[in-house]
Amino acid sequence: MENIIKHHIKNVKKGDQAAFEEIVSFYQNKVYHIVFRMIGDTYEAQDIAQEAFIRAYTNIHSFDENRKFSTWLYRIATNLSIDRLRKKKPDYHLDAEVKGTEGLDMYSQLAADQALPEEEVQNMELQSNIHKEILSLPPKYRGVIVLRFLDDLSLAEIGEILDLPLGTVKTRIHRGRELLRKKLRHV
Amino acid sequence: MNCEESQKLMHQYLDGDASEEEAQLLREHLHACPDCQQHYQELKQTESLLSGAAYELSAPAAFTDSVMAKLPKEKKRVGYMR
Repeated sequence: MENIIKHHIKNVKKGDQAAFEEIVSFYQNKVYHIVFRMIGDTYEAQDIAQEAFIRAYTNIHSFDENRKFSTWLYRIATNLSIDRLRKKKPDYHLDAEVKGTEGLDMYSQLAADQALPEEEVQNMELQSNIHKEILSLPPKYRGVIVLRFLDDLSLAEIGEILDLPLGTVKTRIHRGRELLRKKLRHV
Repeated sequence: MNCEESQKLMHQYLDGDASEEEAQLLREHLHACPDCQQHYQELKQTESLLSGAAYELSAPAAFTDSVMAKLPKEKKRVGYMR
Protein backbone atom coordinates (compact mmCIF):
# COMPACT_ATOMS: atom_id res chain seq x y z
CA MET A 1 0.00 0.00 0.00
CA GLU A 2 2.80 2.37 0.89
CA ASN A 3 4.04 2.05 -2.71
CA ILE A 4 0.69 2.95 -4.22
CA ILE A 5 0.53 5.96 -1.91
CA LYS A 6 4.03 6.98 -3.02
CA HIS A 7 2.89 6.80 -6.62
CA HIS A 8 -0.10 9.04 -5.87
CA ILE A 9 2.11 11.52 -4.02
CA LYS A 10 4.39 11.81 -7.04
CA ASN A 11 1.37 12.61 -9.18
CA VAL A 12 0.07 15.18 -6.72
CA LYS A 13 3.49 16.83 -6.74
CA LYS A 14 3.26 16.98 -10.54
CA GLY A 15 0.01 18.89 -10.22
CA ASP A 16 -2.54 16.09 -10.47
CA GLN A 17 -5.01 17.13 -7.81
CA ALA A 18 -7.28 14.15 -8.45
CA ALA A 19 -4.52 11.80 -7.25
CA PHE A 20 -4.90 13.38 -3.83
CA GLU A 21 -8.41 11.96 -3.59
CA GLU A 22 -6.96 8.46 -3.33
CA ILE A 23 -4.75 9.58 -0.47
CA VAL A 24 -7.60 11.22 1.44
CA SER A 25 -9.81 8.23 0.87
CA PHE A 26 -7.17 5.83 2.15
CA TYR A 27 -6.23 7.78 5.29
CA GLN A 28 -9.50 9.51 6.19
CA ASN A 29 -10.58 7.05 8.89
CA LYS A 30 -7.21 7.03 10.59
CA VAL A 31 -6.77 10.79 10.58
CA TYR A 32 -10.34 11.30 11.75
CA HIS A 33 -9.77 8.71 14.46
CA ILE A 34 -6.69 10.52 15.82
CA VAL A 35 -8.39 13.91 15.85
CA PHE A 36 -11.70 12.69 17.27
CA ARG A 37 -9.96 10.92 20.15
CA MET A 38 -7.85 14.00 20.85
CA ILE A 39 -10.66 16.57 20.58
CA GLY A 40 -13.79 14.62 21.49
CA ASP A 41 -16.31 16.64 19.54
CA THR A 42 -17.46 15.17 16.21
CA TYR A 43 -17.96 18.47 14.35
CA GLU A 44 -14.69 19.94 15.48
CA ALA A 45 -12.90 16.69 14.74
CA GLN A 46 -14.22 16.67 11.20
CA ASP A 47 -13.14 20.27 10.72
CA ILE A 48 -9.60 19.63 11.99
CA ALA A 49 -9.22 16.33 10.14
CA GLN A 50 -10.15 18.08 6.89
CA GLU A 51 -7.75 20.90 7.66
CA ALA A 52 -4.99 18.30 8.17
CA PHE A 53 -5.50 16.98 4.63
CA ILE A 54 -5.66 20.48 3.17
CA ARG A 55 -2.37 21.34 4.89
CA ALA A 56 -0.85 18.11 3.64
CA TYR A 57 -1.92 19.04 0.12
CA THR A 58 -0.63 22.60 0.21
CA ASN A 59 2.67 21.47 1.77
CA ILE A 60 3.12 18.31 -0.27
CA HIS A 61 6.34 19.63 -1.80
CA SER A 62 7.99 19.68 1.62
CA PHE A 63 7.23 15.98 2.12
CA ASP A 64 10.38 13.89 1.72
CA GLU A 65 9.39 10.82 -0.29
CA ASN A 66 12.04 8.70 1.38
CA ARG A 67 10.05 8.89 4.59
CA LYS A 68 6.81 7.30 5.59
CA PHE A 69 3.87 9.40 4.46
CA SER A 70 1.60 8.33 7.32
CA THR A 71 4.12 9.61 9.91
CA TRP A 72 4.14 13.01 8.21
CA LEU A 73 0.36 13.14 7.85
CA TYR A 74 -0.34 12.04 11.43
CA ARG A 75 2.09 14.66 12.65
CA ILE A 76 0.10 17.38 10.89
CA ALA A 77 -3.12 15.98 12.39
CA THR A 78 -1.78 15.74 15.96
CA ASN A 79 -0.20 19.21 15.78
CA LEU A 80 -3.47 20.75 14.64
CA SER A 81 -5.32 18.92 17.42
CA ILE A 82 -2.84 19.99 20.08
CA ASP A 83 -3.00 23.60 18.81
CA ARG A 84 -6.77 23.52 19.05
CA LEU A 85 -6.64 22.15 22.58
CA ARG A 86 -4.17 24.88 23.59
CA LYS A 87 -6.41 27.62 22.25
CA LYS A 88 -9.18 26.47 24.52
CA LYS A 89 -9.51 28.00 27.94
CA PRO A 90 -7.54 26.34 30.74
CA ASP A 91 -10.74 24.76 31.97
CA TYR A 92 -10.86 22.77 28.75
CA HIS A 93 -10.54 19.60 30.73
CA LEU A 94 -13.96 19.88 32.28
CA ASP A 95 -15.19 20.96 28.91
CA ALA A 96 -13.67 17.96 27.24
CA GLU A 97 -15.41 15.59 29.59
CA VAL A 98 -18.73 17.19 28.86
CA LYS A 99 -17.95 17.14 25.17
CA GLY A 100 -17.04 13.51 25.53
CA THR A 101 -20.66 12.82 26.31
CA GLU A 102 -21.47 13.86 22.76
CA GLY A 103 -19.76 10.65 21.80
CA LEU A 104 -22.04 8.93 24.27
CA ASP A 105 -25.08 10.62 22.76
CA MET A 106 -23.93 9.67 19.32
CA TYR A 107 -23.59 6.02 20.29
CA SER A 108 -26.74 5.80 22.34
CA GLN A 109 -28.74 7.65 19.69
CA LEU A 110 -27.64 5.16 17.09
CA ALA A 111 -28.67 2.39 19.42
CA ALA A 112 -32.13 3.83 20.00
CA ASP A 113 -32.83 4.62 16.35
CA GLN A 114 -31.97 1.28 14.95
CA ALA A 115 -33.27 -1.10 17.59
CA LEU A 116 -30.02 -3.00 17.57
CA PRO A 117 -29.42 -6.35 19.21
CA GLU A 118 -28.52 -6.15 22.88
CA GLU A 119 -24.96 -7.15 22.19
CA GLU A 120 -24.38 -4.24 19.83
CA VAL A 121 -25.97 -1.79 22.20
CA GLN A 122 -23.60 -3.00 24.91
CA ASN A 123 -20.65 -2.64 22.60
CA MET A 124 -21.67 0.94 21.77
CA GLU A 125 -21.93 1.77 25.44
CA LEU A 126 -18.54 0.21 26.00
CA GLN A 127 -17.01 2.16 23.10
CA SER A 128 -18.52 5.35 24.36
CA ASN A 129 -17.08 4.74 27.84
CA ILE A 130 -13.65 4.07 26.42
CA HIS A 131 -13.84 7.26 24.34
CA LYS A 132 -14.86 9.29 27.38
CA GLU A 133 -12.04 7.88 29.50
CA ILE A 134 -9.43 8.55 26.82
CA LEU A 135 -10.68 12.15 26.66
CA SER A 136 -10.40 12.49 30.42
CA LEU A 137 -6.64 11.92 30.17
CA PRO A 138 -4.37 14.97 30.08
CA PRO A 139 -3.65 15.66 26.38
CA LYS A 140 0.01 14.65 26.64
CA TYR A 141 -0.99 11.12 27.61
CA ARG A 142 -3.95 11.11 25.26
CA GLY A 143 -1.73 11.54 22.20
CA VAL A 144 0.51 8.55 22.84
CA ILE A 145 -2.39 6.33 23.92
CA VAL A 146 -4.40 7.13 20.79
CA LEU A 147 -1.50 6.59 18.42
CA ARG A 148 -0.33 3.41 20.09
CA PHE A 149 -3.15 1.23 18.85
CA LEU A 150 -3.67 2.91 15.52
CA ASP A 151 -2.06 1.39 12.49
CA ASP A 152 0.43 -0.72 14.49
CA LEU A 153 2.69 2.26 14.95
CA SER A 154 5.98 1.52 16.66
CA LEU A 155 6.95 3.53 19.73
CA ALA A 156 9.72 5.12 17.65
CA GLU A 157 7.18 6.26 15.04
CA ILE A 158 4.97 7.69 17.77
CA GLY A 159 8.01 9.63 18.98
CA GLU A 160 8.57 10.94 15.47
CA ILE A 161 4.92 11.96 15.04
CA LEU A 162 4.79 13.78 18.39
CA ASP A 163 8.38 15.00 18.24
CA LEU A 164 9.25 13.31 21.53
CA PRO A 165 12.26 11.22 22.56
CA LEU A 166 11.57 7.48 22.82
CA GLY A 167 12.03 7.51 26.60
CA THR A 168 9.33 10.17 26.97
CA VAL A 169 6.95 8.21 24.73
CA LYS A 170 7.42 5.18 26.97
CA THR A 171 6.95 7.09 30.21
CA ARG A 172 3.76 8.65 28.88
CA ILE A 173 2.39 5.34 27.69
CA HIS A 174 3.06 3.80 31.10
CA ARG A 175 1.38 6.66 32.97
CA GLY A 176 -1.52 6.85 30.53
CA ARG A 177 -2.02 3.10 30.73
CA GLU A 178 -2.04 3.22 34.53
CA LEU A 179 -4.59 6.05 34.54
CA LEU A 180 -6.83 4.14 32.14
CA ARG A 181 -6.42 0.91 34.08
CA LYS A 182 -7.99 2.59 37.11
CA LYS A 183 -10.83 4.00 35.02
CA LEU A 184 -11.56 0.95 32.91
CA ARG A 185 -11.04 -1.86 35.40
CA HIS A 186 -14.75 -2.15 36.17
CA VAL A 187 -16.21 -1.94 32.68
CA MET B 1 11.59 -8.43 42.89
CA ASN B 2 9.32 -6.11 44.85
CA CYS B 3 5.89 -4.98 43.65
CA GLU B 4 7.10 -1.60 42.47
CA GLU B 5 9.72 -3.23 40.25
CA SER B 6 7.18 -5.75 39.09
CA GLN B 7 4.76 -3.04 37.99
CA LYS B 8 7.46 -1.21 36.09
CA LEU B 9 8.37 -4.43 34.36
CA MET B 10 4.73 -5.11 33.44
CA HIS B 11 4.70 -1.99 31.30
CA GLN B 12 8.00 -2.88 29.66
CA TYR B 13 6.64 -6.31 28.96
CA LEU B 14 3.46 -4.89 27.42
CA ASP B 15 5.60 -2.60 25.24
CA GLY B 16 7.58 -5.61 24.05
CA ASP B 17 10.65 -4.22 25.82
CA ALA B 18 11.28 -6.97 28.39
CA SER B 19 14.00 -9.56 27.83
CA GLU B 20 13.19 -13.26 28.14
CA GLU B 21 14.90 -13.29 31.52
CA GLU B 22 12.89 -10.31 32.75
CA ALA B 23 9.67 -11.87 31.49
CA GLN B 24 10.48 -15.02 33.46
CA LEU B 25 11.15 -13.01 36.64
CA LEU B 26 7.86 -11.20 36.12
CA ARG B 27 5.95 -14.46 35.67
CA GLU B 28 7.45 -15.80 38.88
CA HIS B 29 6.49 -12.68 40.79
CA LEU B 30 2.94 -12.68 39.39
CA HIS B 31 2.59 -16.31 40.37
CA ALA B 32 3.49 -15.48 43.95
CA CYS B 33 1.74 -12.12 44.32
CA PRO B 34 -2.08 -11.92 43.87
CA ASP B 35 -2.07 -8.10 43.96
CA CYS B 36 0.36 -7.85 41.09
CA GLN B 37 -1.48 -10.62 39.25
CA GLN B 38 -4.67 -8.55 39.54
CA HIS B 39 -2.82 -5.39 38.48
CA TYR B 40 -1.42 -7.15 35.44
CA GLN B 41 -4.82 -8.55 34.44
CA GLU B 42 -6.29 -5.04 34.61
CA LEU B 43 -3.51 -3.67 32.42
CA LYS B 44 -4.08 -6.46 29.92
CA GLN B 45 -7.79 -5.69 29.88
CA THR B 46 -7.06 -1.99 29.30
CA GLU B 47 -4.80 -2.90 26.41
CA SER B 48 -7.39 -5.10 24.83
CA LEU B 49 -10.16 -2.49 25.23
CA LEU B 50 -7.98 0.18 23.63
CA SER B 51 -6.90 -2.12 20.87
CA GLY B 52 -10.53 -2.99 20.08
CA ALA B 53 -11.54 0.68 20.14
CA ALA B 54 -8.93 1.52 17.50
CA TYR B 55 -11.10 -0.04 14.79
CA GLU B 56 -14.44 1.41 15.77
CA LEU B 57 -14.39 4.82 14.12
CA SER B 58 -14.97 5.93 10.55
CA ALA B 59 -14.74 9.40 9.08
CA PRO B 60 -18.15 11.02 8.45
CA ALA B 61 -19.86 10.37 5.11
CA ALA B 62 -18.61 12.44 2.17
CA PHE B 63 -15.43 13.34 4.05
CA THR B 64 -13.19 12.88 1.01
CA ASP B 65 -15.50 14.87 -1.30
CA SER B 66 -15.59 17.66 1.22
CA VAL B 67 -11.78 17.83 1.44
CA MET B 68 -11.43 17.77 -2.34
CA ALA B 69 -13.94 20.62 -2.67
CA LYS B 70 -11.91 22.74 -0.24
CA LEU B 71 -8.52 22.32 -1.88
CA PRO B 72 -7.04 25.41 -3.51
CA LYS B 73 -7.69 25.43 -7.24
CA GLU B 74 -4.84 23.85 -9.13
CA LYS B 75 -2.88 25.82 -11.67
CA LYS B 76 -1.77 22.98 -13.85
CA ARG B 77 -3.40 21.33 -16.79
CA VAL B 78 -4.61 18.16 -15.12
CA GLY B 79 -8.12 18.94 -13.93
CA TYR B 80 -10.11 17.67 -11.01
CA MET B 81 -13.53 17.00 -12.44
CA ARG B 82 -16.68 16.30 -10.46
